[in-house]
Amino acid sequence: MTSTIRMIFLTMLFFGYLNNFVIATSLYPSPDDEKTVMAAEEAVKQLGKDRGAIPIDYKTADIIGLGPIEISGKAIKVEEALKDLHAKMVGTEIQISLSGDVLFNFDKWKIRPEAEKTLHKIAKIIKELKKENVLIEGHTDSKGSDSYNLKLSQKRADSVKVWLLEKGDLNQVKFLTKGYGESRPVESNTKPDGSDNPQGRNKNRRVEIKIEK
Amino acid sequence: MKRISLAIIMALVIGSLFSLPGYAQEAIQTQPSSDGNFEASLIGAKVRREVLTVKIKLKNIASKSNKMECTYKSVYYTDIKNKKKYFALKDSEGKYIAGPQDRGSNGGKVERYIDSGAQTIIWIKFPAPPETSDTIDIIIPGILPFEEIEIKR
Repeated sequence: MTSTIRMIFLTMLFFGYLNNFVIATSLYPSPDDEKTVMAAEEAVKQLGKDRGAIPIDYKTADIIGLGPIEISGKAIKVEEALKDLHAKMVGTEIQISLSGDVLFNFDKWKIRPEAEKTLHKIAKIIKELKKENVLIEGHTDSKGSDSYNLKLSQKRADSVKVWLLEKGDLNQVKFLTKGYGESRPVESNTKPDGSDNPQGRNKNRRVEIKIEK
Repeated sequence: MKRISLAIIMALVIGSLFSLPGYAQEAIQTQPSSDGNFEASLIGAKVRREVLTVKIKLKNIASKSNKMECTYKSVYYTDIKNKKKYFALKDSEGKYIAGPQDRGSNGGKVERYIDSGAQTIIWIKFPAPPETSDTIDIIIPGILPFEEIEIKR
């Protein structure tokens, strides 16, 4: 019996070690640990009545976020930026179409560094216009299956949203994303003779950003 | 011998339960990471005595090992209703009340490789939003935002 108890003890010790291995590097071992709970409660007290709340507005967003958005160190006018991006005014929306090949590598949804300048411009426009609702749509060409393209287009739209939220410091904006896959081409993916139309497919690989006017 | 085996099995089961807290918790909302390598599941957003505890499970859904990193100073939540933003709590030494944390990061971040299919949990303490707020958006760099999360009190 003594050996059984010893065995249990050693096994528990081993798992305790494993547990420590998982969180050993933490200053606070777990969220429910007494030391953690007390430290958190004390921290809230120290913050005072407003609990460290920071008002979300455009002025403070520049100060507390990732820093003011500047393009090449100089301010840009919204009209100029819209012109640069070939934005269209459609009904009550400002529509900006971005090439998928500029934003992403083939078959990927991680934003390419080369696309960041363009996205900074878009962030600036949204901020300057003080818009609260922005729709981001992802589109692909017809290569690949419908379901794959649908997923890829959604992931790409989501990536643009994450970039604008994080690097564009637009956390006060409500972004909606929608992946349409290959269902909404702007050009034909094939030529009249049925052969491949690379230029058409290129135009179809895109992300559209729609800002309510 | 049979008794010893049973004891070991029991110890293994109990040990596992205590070793990996939160792994069995149900996801409130799941979002992908922006690089597509991880799936992040929010498994807790609960207020207790003016403190909001957020727990997130990160699973490597890629076919190879990938690095997960979280810098606690960049994590925050927004209370859209009251137009307020809250950052993670810091202790009296200026270290974030969050875990796990890397040695040498001075209480600021966690960085580790997660095997394909494996998962890890991070947790962060925030000041609670006011009673008038029922939902918040939780923003963690590299992960799609967790939006309109209902607060449990």
